[in-house]
Amino acid sequence: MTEAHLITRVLAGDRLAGRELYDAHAPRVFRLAFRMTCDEELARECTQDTFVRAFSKLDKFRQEAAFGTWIHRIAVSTVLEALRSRRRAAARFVDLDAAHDVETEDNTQDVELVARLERAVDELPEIYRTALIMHDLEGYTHAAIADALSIPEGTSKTRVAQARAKLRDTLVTLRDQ
Amino acid sequence: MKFTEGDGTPMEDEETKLNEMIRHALSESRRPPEPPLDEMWAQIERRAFDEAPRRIMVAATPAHWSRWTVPALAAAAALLVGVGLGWSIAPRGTVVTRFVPAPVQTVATTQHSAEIPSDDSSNTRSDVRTASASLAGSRGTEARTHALPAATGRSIPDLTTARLASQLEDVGGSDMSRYLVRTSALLMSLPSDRTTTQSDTLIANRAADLLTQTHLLLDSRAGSDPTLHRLLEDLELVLAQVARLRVQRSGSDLQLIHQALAVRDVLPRVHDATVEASITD
Repeated sequence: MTEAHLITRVLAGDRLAGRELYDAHAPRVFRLAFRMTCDEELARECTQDTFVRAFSKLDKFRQEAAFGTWIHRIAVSTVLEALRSRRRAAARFVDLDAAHDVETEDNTQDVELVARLERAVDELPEIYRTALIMHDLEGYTHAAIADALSIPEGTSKTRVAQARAKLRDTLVTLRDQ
Repeated sequence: MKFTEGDGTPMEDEETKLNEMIRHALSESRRPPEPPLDEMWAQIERRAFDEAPRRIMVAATPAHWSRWTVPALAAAAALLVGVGLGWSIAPRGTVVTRFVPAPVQTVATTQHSAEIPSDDSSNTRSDVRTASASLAGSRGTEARTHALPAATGRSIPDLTTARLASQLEDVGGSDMSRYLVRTSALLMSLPSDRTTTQSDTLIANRAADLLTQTHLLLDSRAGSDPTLHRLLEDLELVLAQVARLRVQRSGSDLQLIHQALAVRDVLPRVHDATVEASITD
């Protein structure tokens, strides 16, 4: 069954069709939410909110774009809103104890490197951080990012490049120490 | 391993290596857990299907109806009811109209007087509220009725107010998008220091114009959404500050505006609202 059929059935109140749409997109929405928040509970809430919002606005979805594109746009907006309103951004740093669980090479330098990078990512302005996480960690294309953030594709490229440059500076500084 | 050239900038091939290291480190440290799909679905199902069933089941209309059919029918029905009521209650042979020219870059509201001048439209009293002054005073356009002179004993709607109120009700997603895009563009074009003064008047005039729209939106149905309402209130404040640039500009004015923008996360929130408006549009 195509997504268009599923959407029609969801609009008629068919929960199973809703579940099918959800199964097709929820894992990626959850992954993105987690990458952006580093908080499993918040990622879960954001995923739920995203689908509740999407289903409640499904009658306004014109099917000009793919459902996946549309729901990721809602997801990004939901996550950013949640991050701001809950003020959890400051608590998202990976502390050194927790970093021991990270599956990188088991030496202090790498643990510190990861922690510093995490911190540098969190210190990036929101617009750069979002583009970087979507592109470099979740593999979204610049076209998909542009659509989700309502920005030109070139702007997405610029933001990712600037975010990388900032992180490279951090890395170089750390290596030079 | 050499990471940098003499001036500290990474070499090109090293740049790629560094990017890869960053990507690898972050993807490992931010590795998502398995999503609890069933658990999340239970919540979604409850909220989307059980608590708000009417919102989901809105598509029980014939497939050939366009998205405008239902609103158009609703508007037509409302119009018919309005015309019918008008015919039934209007006194025969009496037409009372008032026309108040809308001033540029201001919001016109009728005064809190209960009486309409009986025959002379030049006596029409209106309170022209300037954009910045409105911050201190009450906001909003109140849809009111005015008592006719005792001779008729009837009341009629204030047409100016009614017209404005109707405009407010008509604010749709695309209007909101346009407003947000224009506001965002204006705020991003603000000079960063006080050296540039040539564009001040232009920017301040646009801000005053947008401030008026902000007031209208705050009073519209669109402004009843709590998140949007808070954003509009913040924009109202910032735009009022920008609008003041045309009359006075001290050294710290721009700095204060930029601080307000940063502290209140205004631009990212405008961006989110633009996305939201485009989703609902």
